[in-house]
Amino acid sequence: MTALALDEPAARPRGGVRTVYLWELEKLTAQWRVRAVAALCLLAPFAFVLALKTQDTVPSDTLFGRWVHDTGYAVPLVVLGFAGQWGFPLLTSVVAGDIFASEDHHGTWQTILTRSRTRAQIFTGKVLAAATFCVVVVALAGAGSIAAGVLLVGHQPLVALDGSLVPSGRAAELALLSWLCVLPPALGFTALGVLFSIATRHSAAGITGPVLVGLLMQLYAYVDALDVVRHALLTTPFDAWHGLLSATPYYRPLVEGCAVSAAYTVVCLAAGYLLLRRRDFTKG
Amino acid sequence: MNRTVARAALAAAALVLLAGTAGCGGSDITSGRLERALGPTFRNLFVLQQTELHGTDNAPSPDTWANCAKAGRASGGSGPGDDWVCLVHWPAPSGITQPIAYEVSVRPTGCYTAQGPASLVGQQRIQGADGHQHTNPLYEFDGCFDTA
Repeated sequence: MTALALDEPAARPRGGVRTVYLWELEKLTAQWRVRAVAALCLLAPFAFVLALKTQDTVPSDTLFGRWVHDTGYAVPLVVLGFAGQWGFPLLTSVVAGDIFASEDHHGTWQTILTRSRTRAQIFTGKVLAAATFCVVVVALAGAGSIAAGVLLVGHQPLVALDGSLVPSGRAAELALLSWLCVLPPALGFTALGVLFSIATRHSAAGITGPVLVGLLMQLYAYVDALDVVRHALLTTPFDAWHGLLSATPYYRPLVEGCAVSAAYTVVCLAAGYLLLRRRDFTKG
Repeated sequence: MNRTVARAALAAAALVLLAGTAGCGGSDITSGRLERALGPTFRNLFVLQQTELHGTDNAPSPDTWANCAKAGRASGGSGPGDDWVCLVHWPAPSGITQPIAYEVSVRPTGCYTAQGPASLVGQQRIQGADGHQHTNPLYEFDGCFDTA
């Protein structure tokens, strides 16, 4: 019997996606790597602020870097500026790039495909688990950096990107919204990680692939090249929050960024699913 | 499966080529956009600096005028680079408003860093009215603008 025969609709049980999803989450929370990344996201901002407090210099090459000693709300925005450069592709790929390839690594594809779960259900459950990890990582890093800033520096008003003064409460709102704005491209990189994971069947390639793509896109954005291509890069939406931090906010980059991220997500997931469906597991 | 991958690669290459040929219409970074962002930002930061220095803002507030030009090679006065120069109206402590020049570095993302003449606008840290050291908002500042 071939593995394909297991995909017959008659064998499709109800609630399969949920089972796969919960099982994947259980596997993820048991991995030390996943726990380490989660702890790093929460604690690294505190270490960053403590390191800054021991010196007079400021990271002035990053937006809001000049203000890190003056208001705690500058901290989450500086971290966001750093993390968008290379951090989010790496953090989300730690799980997304591994979640399919680990079955290859352990040689467990035949086993899970005989557990009366279709490939569609396994694919959906694994993708949902990777996306959940991505959201959790962004939420932890955002919460960690806002808490680090407010607790260790204070909640003074923030000087926005147009020089206007933003009062404390509104500044906290803007910091939260800015972190929300990086979720779409981060999920786009999750989808890219999933595609790499399925296509390469190798965890290391699945994790480094999206990071390399992210770095190449950053490189392209820094050279004086065609602007149209830059608008279509998945790293450009990581900067979309800049538009929020002004007395006269502009949302065009945000809308465009969401569309670009959605396009990358759909294309990568569709390609990944097609590869998984067409794969012949009987060859081992 | 290899054929699928090849097809996908071909489609991606075609897309990039298409985007490339459609993108020959000039840069997103123009002097007008930079002026409209930098002028009001300078005005706001000047008010902030005066409040830091004197406790209250009773100096004359400058207008939002700015005039930016890109030096260097013939770039048609647009495009990212660190060779932008912007003039703004600075009300000197004597009461006379004079134009001063900021050296501006503009990145392709639409964010810029402007560095002012420290002899006029002050050093990086300034002594505030409250006796504490403050970050001088006018010494160097960042800003962003919409590039479309």
